[in-house]
Amino acid sequence: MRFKRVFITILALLLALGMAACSSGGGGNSNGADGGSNPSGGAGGDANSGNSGDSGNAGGSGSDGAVTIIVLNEGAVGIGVGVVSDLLVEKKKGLMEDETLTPRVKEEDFNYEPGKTVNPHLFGYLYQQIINEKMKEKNIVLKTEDWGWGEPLIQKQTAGFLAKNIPDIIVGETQMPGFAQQGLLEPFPDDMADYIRENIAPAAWKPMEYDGKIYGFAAQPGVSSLFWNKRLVREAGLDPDKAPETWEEFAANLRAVTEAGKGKFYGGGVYAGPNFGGYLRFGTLLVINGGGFADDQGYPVFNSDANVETVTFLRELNGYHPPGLMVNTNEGTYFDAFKKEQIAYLIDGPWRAAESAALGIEYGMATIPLSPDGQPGNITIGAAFHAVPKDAKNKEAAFEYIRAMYSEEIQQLIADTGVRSPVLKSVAENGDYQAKHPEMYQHYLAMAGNVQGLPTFAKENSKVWQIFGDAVAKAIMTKGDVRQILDDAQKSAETAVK
Amino acid sequence: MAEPFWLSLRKQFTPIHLLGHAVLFGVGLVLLYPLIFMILAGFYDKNEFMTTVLRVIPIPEEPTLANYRALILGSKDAAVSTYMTNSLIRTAYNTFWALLTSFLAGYVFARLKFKGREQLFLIMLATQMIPGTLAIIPTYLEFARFPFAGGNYIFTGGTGILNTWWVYLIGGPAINIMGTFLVKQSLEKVPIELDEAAIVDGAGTLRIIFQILLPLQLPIMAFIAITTALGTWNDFITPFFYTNSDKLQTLPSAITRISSVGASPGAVINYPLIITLSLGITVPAMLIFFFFQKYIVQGLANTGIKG
Repeated sequence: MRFKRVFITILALLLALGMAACSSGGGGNSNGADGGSNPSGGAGGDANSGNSGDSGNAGGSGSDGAVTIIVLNEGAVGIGVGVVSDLLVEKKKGLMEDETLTPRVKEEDFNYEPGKTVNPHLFGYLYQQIINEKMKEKNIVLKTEDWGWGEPLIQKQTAGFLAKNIPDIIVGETQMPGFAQQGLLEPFPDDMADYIRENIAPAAWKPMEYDGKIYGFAAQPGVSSLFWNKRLVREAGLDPDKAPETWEEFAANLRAVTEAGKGKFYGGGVYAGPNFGGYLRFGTLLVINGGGFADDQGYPVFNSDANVETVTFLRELNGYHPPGLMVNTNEGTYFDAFKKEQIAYLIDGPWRAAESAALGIEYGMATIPLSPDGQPGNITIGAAFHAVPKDAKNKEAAFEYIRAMYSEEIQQLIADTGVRSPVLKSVAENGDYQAKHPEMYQHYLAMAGNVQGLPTFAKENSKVWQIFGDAVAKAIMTKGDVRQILDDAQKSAETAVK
Repeated sequence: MAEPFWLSLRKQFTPIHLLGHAVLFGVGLVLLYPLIFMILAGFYDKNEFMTTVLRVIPIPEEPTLANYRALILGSKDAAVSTYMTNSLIRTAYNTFWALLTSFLAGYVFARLKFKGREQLFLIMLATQMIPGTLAIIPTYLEFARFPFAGGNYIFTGGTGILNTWWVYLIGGPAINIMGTFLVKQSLEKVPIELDEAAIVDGAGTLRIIFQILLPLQLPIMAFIAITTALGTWNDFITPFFYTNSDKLQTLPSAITRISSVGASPGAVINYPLIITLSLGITVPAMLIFFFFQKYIVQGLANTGIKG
């Protein structure tokens, strides 16, 4: 029957279209509705174009030989998606018109002079403006893309690496050391690495050091500090200007605030949820107490005496939180409790200072209390590491971008904004900075000390982290033997990395 | 003779009926609560939302219409009209293809006899067992390697069809396997004699398909249309992973971007705006479901898949 053949043919075609979506070859022109906006297409040195000039999709690159690089956005400095020169114009207009900003942005705020205070709302704009000017001098056109953050970003980057379709500069947090170890990133040139080692605080690059090479840089990383709500501390009859210095004092303060709160507010302490948000925060207590997550080879060391002691302390802190809050799987819920004045103390990155000030919370900031035999130590947090992928189209131009990130101008801007600490020693160790931003200077000192990044386990990284996170949550939430719980976790983790 | 209205109303006031209504009312309230919360949260300013302990019914002290203005007119953070237009076009396009492919493929499997039919159908059904998230990276590679597109020399060298409308045009109209299955089930219940009678009357195959069998399948087609439309309307994975340009984003992917970048260090998430934009996804989807739910029930009933 003729129609039978016709329909079987149609069915075969539909199956091919639906399941493979790659047999028609009809997609010749890729510009579609958005001409020239391909992820890496904007790169002047498109692999397909060879030496024959622009490929036609080199967004923004003209006949003057300018190289366009694609940089992934991160929230703290993002001003939109597209060519930065164009975005700056729109952003300025948007900032001026935005009535919700406090303080309102005025025309004169844009006349930034190094050493003068900056309206924090302008930080992203000025950051991009300075970098853009520096890139222009090198005949580099900047274009930004937005790939999100957290898990969606990691998935998209993984796909991008596999397809060799990746921007010239990628950004990320906990996943970046893993990318370096997998050989997906380009090591920094030796001259750059030498300069960084000598002049930059370790928190900005140390977590991205692997096998003697540096693979990534964060312009304004953070380490955790202790923050507290002075009003709540005062209500508990404590001195709101005095930070607890030891774990014992810390626990005593938390107890006092919890008792004074009578269920309306609590002492708080530290977030310990079974996720990276938790590991980054309570991990600082492990480091201070001489414990940790993994050895140099990436093998788990969950059940050390120091870890057992620290987790036991965490269990005590759980009593100073609203039920379930300390290990809530959503870290945002924990920080919301601080913003809503439901907990008085917490350990978090430096942005908590500016955010608290913006929300009208009278806050204190200090280094994290030490355990009886503890030493100062910390974990890099909120570090948006920028790196150049092995498959980047314009590596040299991309490294120029990273050089601009640690330039004096950018680092001075970070110092003047006062939300984070600069990492360039010449800026941070300047007497003027220390006098104007004493808290942030303390933060800088913490970044220059014993700072680690979260390790990547030898195998089954995500699984092993989950084993540890779940064990800590179990130890906190139950009355089970802490050592036994961590021993079990160690056994499971060892099996996973074998 | 029909029962008078007052009599049927009085029957509703028996204790058992009242209890039933109370339970249904309670359950309805629980189901409606998130929507009520979202509507009210949309009136919050970012700072007030963050610093206030929200009550069960959140009512802001200083209400603002800024978020609803952003939903309707767009804002500096969100080009809502572009996202909405993209969502609508994608939804209409995918629904059209889902209907066409489901019906034709369902017809082939229900009516035509050919070698390997059962095996082919089983293979198709088996693909439903693969979780969607596992397909993200292979699909990304497929789009990136699309031949002769985006600077590709045959398969590599460029970006393929990533970040173009072709992602939606080619990647969207995949065969709707669930729809094919439902149409097949439903058509198998229609006697073959109907086709034979039509042939005797001189009808061709196309006429049999589109003028005789299709009208009988309207409930199931409505079901396929509704589920595909809802699925596409809510889909954030395709635009989020396979496109980068702001001009190609749909409402769900734009919200995912705003919220995930807001989660990066130092950024502040504007929850009330995100919640309000989410209303732009939720309300149309709810309305579709509300007005067409009888087709969903009828459609499933026609296929013999009943609870």
